[in-house]
Amino acid sequence: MEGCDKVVGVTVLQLKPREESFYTILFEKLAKVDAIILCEGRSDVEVVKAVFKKLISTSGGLVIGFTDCEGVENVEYMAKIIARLVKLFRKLKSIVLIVDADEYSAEARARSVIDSLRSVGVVAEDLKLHSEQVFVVKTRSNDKTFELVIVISGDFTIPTKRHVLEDHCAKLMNIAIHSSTDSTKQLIKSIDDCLKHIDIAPKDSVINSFRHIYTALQLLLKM
Amino acid sequence: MIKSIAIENLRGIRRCVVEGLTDVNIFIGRNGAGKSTILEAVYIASALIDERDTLRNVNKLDYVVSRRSSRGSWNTYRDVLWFLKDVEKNIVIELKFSTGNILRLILINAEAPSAPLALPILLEVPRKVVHGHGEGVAYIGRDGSGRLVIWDPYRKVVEGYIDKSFYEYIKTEYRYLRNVILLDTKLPVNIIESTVWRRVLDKRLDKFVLDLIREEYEPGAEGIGFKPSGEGFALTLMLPNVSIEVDSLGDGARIAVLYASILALAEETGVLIEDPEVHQHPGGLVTLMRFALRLAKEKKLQLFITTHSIELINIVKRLAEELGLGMKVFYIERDNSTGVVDVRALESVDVEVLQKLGLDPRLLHIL
Repeated sequence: MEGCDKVVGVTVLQLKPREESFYTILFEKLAKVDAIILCEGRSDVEVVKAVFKKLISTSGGLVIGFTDCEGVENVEYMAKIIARLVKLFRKLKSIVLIVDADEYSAEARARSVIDSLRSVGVVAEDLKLHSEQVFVVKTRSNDKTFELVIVISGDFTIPTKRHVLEDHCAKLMNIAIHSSTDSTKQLIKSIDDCLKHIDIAPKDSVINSFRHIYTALQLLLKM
Repeated sequence: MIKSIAIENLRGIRRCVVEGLTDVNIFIGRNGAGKSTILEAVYIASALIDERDTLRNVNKLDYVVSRRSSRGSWNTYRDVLWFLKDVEKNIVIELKFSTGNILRLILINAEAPSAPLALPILLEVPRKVVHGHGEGVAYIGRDGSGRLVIWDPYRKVVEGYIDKSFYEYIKTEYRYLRNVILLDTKLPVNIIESTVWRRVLDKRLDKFVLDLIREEYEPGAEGIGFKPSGEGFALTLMLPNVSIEVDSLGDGARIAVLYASILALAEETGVLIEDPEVHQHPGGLVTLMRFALRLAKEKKLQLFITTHSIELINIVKRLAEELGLGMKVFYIERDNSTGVVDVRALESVDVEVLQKLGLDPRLLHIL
């Protein structure tokens, strides 16, 4: 059924548009969502989902909801969303936030997320680097504790001013990048091209290009 | 205003606490979660002050027993109100008001009336409130003449009478509970004629009801009046070329006239509304809820609404923002094995955030 794909025991639930996930949850009688992956925009969600479906196979029965912040790149806004979700959830095990590094280093970007969470009343322990560009933070809000996985996208080896998820697409697609390029967003006309490449490329290439997402998803499945 | 409701042993609810209540409170959740039971708890509490439902001309305890199954009365069928029908345990309803006063009501398994008490509802208060001293609790009931009495539940005797100072102490809560209104889908339309419309006309509130009808249901309506019908009179809507009895109107219009007439008369009390979206086109729902919320603001009404409609949630959210009324959505989820109800309070912004993320608030059980 559209909106809900089974990847060998893991259910991928596309939360937006709301009308679709509504019927998916009801018709599939989904009783829980175990984790939510929150991206900046819709195209980011599509890329992450595509990587997930390409790489992850598991016999678990996890339900993972994918959604986005409607292109709002404001970290404070994302932190407010996370704080609201934490207040309301009972069964959710973890939240994965995937954001572009933009003009910051991976750690600086992750720290800005933590600072924003703390400013809205979420108690967050120190940032722990799990692997390159993947951070794990134990957080607490009211009486609830949960793990927030912060994944920072961007290829810091390329000479662009801003580092974004499209960097990884460009890597997979072997797109040449010049130092005058502000961001790889300018080089990738349509995200569909990236999705096609993810679909046809060997798994190793996808892992190599999207290692941060691959790591985060493996981490998620272990939680 | 009621700020919190705590319930024990009522219907499917073993225990439930709803806190942070505000001007407009919407209860959502799956079937059987306990939404209607929360409304019934407030309705039952109001019976301590006035056991008669003047709208329906029935005894409130009889009505709450029979309203779902249309079967039985308090004296014959009351065990359906008890959690797991275990009548050995008391039903407890505790209401905390914005005045700081807490009314803790105990519903006991006894016939009504059971002399000298008129009602099987007791108000549990700290002993020093009625005796001026002492530890522990005392119980207040109502006798056959409507007076509040100090009741000894163990010896089953009246120990004394409540003096004026106590009435003064709970004056606000007394007035609130006395006027509580329950609007459910079983409310018969003919009560407009028998009970409500005379008072609506006395206060010339008919103009507002007519405006509501014109806004959504019959734009050409010219007036509402009585016309002879059989042995009595029927409330009639006058249209340009014909007049139609209100009880012959479409369901949406008929319910709108009924609810609007009743709400127009309410003041400084709680209004319990069950599933107002039934029979209402979204346009009708906007009209009806706008009417209700405006009155809530003008007449200091506190609304408790159960619903399964996302349109209603979004409509009320928007209206509440426009009118400057507080609004909260409470997601109710009951553990079927224990009867314990979990309540999640959603502010207006939570409803917005969830929907922006693609999550329907009515499906919060998955989170």
